[in-house]
Amino acid sequence: MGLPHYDPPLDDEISAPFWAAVDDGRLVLPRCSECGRWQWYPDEAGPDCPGASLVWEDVATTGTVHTATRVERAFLPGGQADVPYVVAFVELDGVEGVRLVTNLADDSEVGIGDRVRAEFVDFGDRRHVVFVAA
Amino acid sequence: MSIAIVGVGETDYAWKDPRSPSALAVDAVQRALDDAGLSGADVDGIVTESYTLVNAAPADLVAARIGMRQRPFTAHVGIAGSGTVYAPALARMAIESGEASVVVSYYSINLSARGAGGAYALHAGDRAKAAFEMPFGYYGQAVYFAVSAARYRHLYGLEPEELGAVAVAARAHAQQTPNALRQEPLTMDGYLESPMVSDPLRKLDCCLVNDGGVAFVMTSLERARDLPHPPAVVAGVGFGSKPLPQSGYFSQAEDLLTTAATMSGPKAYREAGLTAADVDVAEIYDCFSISMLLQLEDLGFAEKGAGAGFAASGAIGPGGTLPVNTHGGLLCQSYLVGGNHVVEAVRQLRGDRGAAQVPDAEVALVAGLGAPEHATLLLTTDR
Repeated sequence: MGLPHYDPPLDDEISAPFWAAVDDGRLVLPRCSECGRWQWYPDEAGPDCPGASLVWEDVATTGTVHTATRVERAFLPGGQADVPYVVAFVELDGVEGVRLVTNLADDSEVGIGDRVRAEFVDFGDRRHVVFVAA
Repeated sequence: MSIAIVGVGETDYAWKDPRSPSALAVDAVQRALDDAGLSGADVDGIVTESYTLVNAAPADLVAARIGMRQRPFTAHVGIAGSGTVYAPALARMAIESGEASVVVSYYSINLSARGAGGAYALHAGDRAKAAFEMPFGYYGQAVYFAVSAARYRHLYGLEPEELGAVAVAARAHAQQTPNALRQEPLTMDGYLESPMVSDPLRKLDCCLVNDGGVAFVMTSLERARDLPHPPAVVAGVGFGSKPLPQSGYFSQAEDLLTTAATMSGPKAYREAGLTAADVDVAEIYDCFSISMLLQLEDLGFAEKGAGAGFAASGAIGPGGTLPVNTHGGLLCQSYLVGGNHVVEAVRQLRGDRGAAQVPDAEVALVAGLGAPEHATLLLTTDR
């Protein structure tokens, strides 16, 4: 089973906190400074509470697989060598209402509804986060 | 005041057409006006889809090329299928209020000219997708819909042959449609041999990638009755959107197995005084087999989770109890983003479809999807 290779824009303020945390072996997500609602994805318009801002907080590295697909045709530029790989949506423990789009390291023993935990893997100049059976 | 669709036009559909989207739009509009027995000088309003078309085939350019003399009404609405299918609602507002008397809507696309990245690169410019989806390979429209199909399979069961029933039915309809791009016979075995793209979606679960243009002309029902073809009456239109930006829609929607057809459908049915049981033929946005199944359920033709079985029963094929996508749809006729679905519904109500004609078709439903958005259109004969 492969993994896709596409580097996120690390200088984009929208995405930098997430990928900096992954490099550090943590997961962080943004929530509203007023009402605490998780906002995923973050965008330049910010949260809906007036005057509020987004605050990135550490979140659990465990969760449940909501859905998953094994991708067999490469759509990313130059991605032919990476397929097949597994895209999954994981609902992290204690994080209501949003899902992390991520990869499963292997779909032979993990499926929809199963418990998973994050693993941080070296990936060239950065680290990547994948999920394995908990 | 009621309005009707009085003219329809399509360019010749092609895998590769050297013309720009504007030129394709002009060709399609000219054909639709010819079909309506009208000329560009009669047109005083334009409505188009807003997300992909405003810059690709701008109204000012198309208006000039088709010979419009004035343009008191111009409007753009919706994402992809939600825009092409909702266009008659805006035309109706304009015609009822007197802003315009003859309104044209068009859609055109030249995917073969897109170069590197093709149809997929449309989404690569989205900051959130580049940051939080593409690094995980969640990219390519087929992958967006595969996760819904996988979840559907988990909750309700989804046999390969049930998805295949959608592809096989679309091909059977396309074989009775002279301008459909994909007409070679397709058996279930042939479907099952189609390469997997993103489990459980195979290549033949995915729409075509092609070039072309489509257009339709609308005016008051009163005026429509003096024009060459029987009017296709706009009996009900609805629009709905889930409260999510397109960027996060495909991963963050609370329920991946419903579309905003749950909002647009009831509005359209209520306005028309009709129910799903009244529909004789349905043209439903089929960017992927699974998206058509989800809308079938959301529009009341099957319970949630039962759409796949409904399709596999043969209901949606030629001669079925609810023929769906009688032109072959986005899967087999042409990727004209639902504009071709409107055209097909009009032709069915005219009784013009030869071997593909649904007998005594009086009520046609058209459904258009665009990420969080959805539009439902009910057309009827003049009865």
